[in-house]
Amino acid sequence: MVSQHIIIDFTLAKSYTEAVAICIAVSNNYAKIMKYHGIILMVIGILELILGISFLTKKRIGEAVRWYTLLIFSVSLWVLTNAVAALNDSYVIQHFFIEMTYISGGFIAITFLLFTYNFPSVKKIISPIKTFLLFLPAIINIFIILLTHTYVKGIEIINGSIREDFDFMIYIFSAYFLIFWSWGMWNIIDSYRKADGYHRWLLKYLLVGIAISATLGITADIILPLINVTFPGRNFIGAEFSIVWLGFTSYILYKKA
Amino acid sequence: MPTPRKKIGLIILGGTVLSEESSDKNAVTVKGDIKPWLAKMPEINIMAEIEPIFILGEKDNEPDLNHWIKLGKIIADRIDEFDGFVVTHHVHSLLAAACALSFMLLNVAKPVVFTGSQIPFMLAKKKTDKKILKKYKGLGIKANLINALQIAIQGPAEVSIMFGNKLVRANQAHITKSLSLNLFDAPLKAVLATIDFGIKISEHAHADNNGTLIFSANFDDNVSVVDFNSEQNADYLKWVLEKKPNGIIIQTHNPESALELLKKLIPESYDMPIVIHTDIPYSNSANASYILIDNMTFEATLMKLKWALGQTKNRKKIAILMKENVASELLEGEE
Repeated sequence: MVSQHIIIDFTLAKSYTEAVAICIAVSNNYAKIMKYHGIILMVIGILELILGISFLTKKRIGEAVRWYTLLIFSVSLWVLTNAVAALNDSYVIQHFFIEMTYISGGFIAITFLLFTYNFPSVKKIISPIKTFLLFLPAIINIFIILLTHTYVKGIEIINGSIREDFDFMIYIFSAYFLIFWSWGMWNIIDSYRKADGYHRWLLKYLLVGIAISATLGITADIILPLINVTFPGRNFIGAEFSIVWLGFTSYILYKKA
Repeated sequence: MPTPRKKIGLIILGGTVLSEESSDKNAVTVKGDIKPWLAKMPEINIMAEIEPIFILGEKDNEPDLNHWIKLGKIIADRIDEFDGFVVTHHVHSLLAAACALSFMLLNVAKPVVFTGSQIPFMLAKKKTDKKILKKYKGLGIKANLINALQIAIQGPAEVSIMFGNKLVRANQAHITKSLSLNLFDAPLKAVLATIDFGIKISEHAHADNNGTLIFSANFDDNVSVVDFNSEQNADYLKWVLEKKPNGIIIQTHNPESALELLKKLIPESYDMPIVIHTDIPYSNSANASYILIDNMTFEATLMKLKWALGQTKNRKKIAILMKENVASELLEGEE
């Protein structure tokens, strides 16, 4: 392979056209890897979508169910946007969908947090105004992603691997996500410490499933990009790990205590 | 608009031990223990407005029919004050209590949910072998009580039992394996709800009951039970007959041979109802002398006979009542 090191700045007018041209020229190996990633992610995303729909149709009652259903749909959206990005040959479209993953990421953080306040029982009643305020960063995030290039301002292509040149929003988003996620995890761990009986059983499996998939997902999607670790398909590995969480959730649903 | 908090009556008849690890006020022994005991479960007061009603504590004797009648009377008298009731009960007689309530409170329009702790009170108080403690790990009341409360807030309007992740119809329930999370089980059609991420109400659960509550607390406790699985018990039956109980239940796995033996032992002039309870399907319409029950749990049969004897002393009417589906107690065949 011919050695390449190209820097593309999206803030310049011609960058998108340039990106398309270069991406086509990038090695076919990268495209092949991305196709496999895409197919796997599409399957996982559809399975998660089915799980979310089954939550709606089985008519479960409770505040925790509402937030967990929204969490499932947010994760499913995250995985599916990753899948579409991976399956697309055009880097411009790929780039667009990668940025979209941060929209679902914002909703994953907040729905997870609200779920943990209601599972296995209500810990605190959060008023509609407070709920809206907690959702506000995720809503503002949508506009920032759609209207600006403040997440990824450019890319570098080094020997077939793509490395994003991040702007300040990625750091704000990462901090927001990690704070909300850690807050939620603290709630779950605290509930586990105090729980007994069936609740302890539920929380154990939920905690293990979330901890494994989140640790791997956050490492692949937030920590590795921030420390400039690059390899083909790196962005998509995080989404693939959501299968662990899906497995543990299904186990809780279908296995008797 | 936030939903107004539901008001739940929490009636205590034992079964309140929280956890084998906590020491101070981890159970309700006297009325004064209720406040510190509830303070150990702050979630409960967030979920609903709770009014505790004390009948029995942990140190008191096992609840009996008199306590259950008192319990039924409280529920009947205060049914309009509450959105639902949770009853904590000593685990050994919980099934009998719940069965009794199901016949006592016909057409009940609010959920009445029984639950409890499997940890014996004394185990939590004395130094116990770690191996034994481990067996009781996590079998305190907390999770059961929270789930029972959720059911009382939005669950089916009938008398039910909540343990582990299953809500079962009280008069069709049976004990599975002690020291397991799901201590009670029931045929599929009597599993009223399951709990995972929320409550999943079964289609077999009663929809909102708009009928008028019939409070019928007349029970006749003078019923004897004879385990009739071997001929050796014939002498015991003779002794029981001499005591002249108002009703007898004979438990057998072999109704055919039990009937043969009964013909020899029981005089034709004997006019008290004799119920033969068997857990195998059996049809014997030819013999009208005995009431053969093969479609009810033993606990439901016992409580129903006590209740039927409280309604009438007429043997034929008792036979009709025992065969009737009074409170959804008849087990239906699985499809």
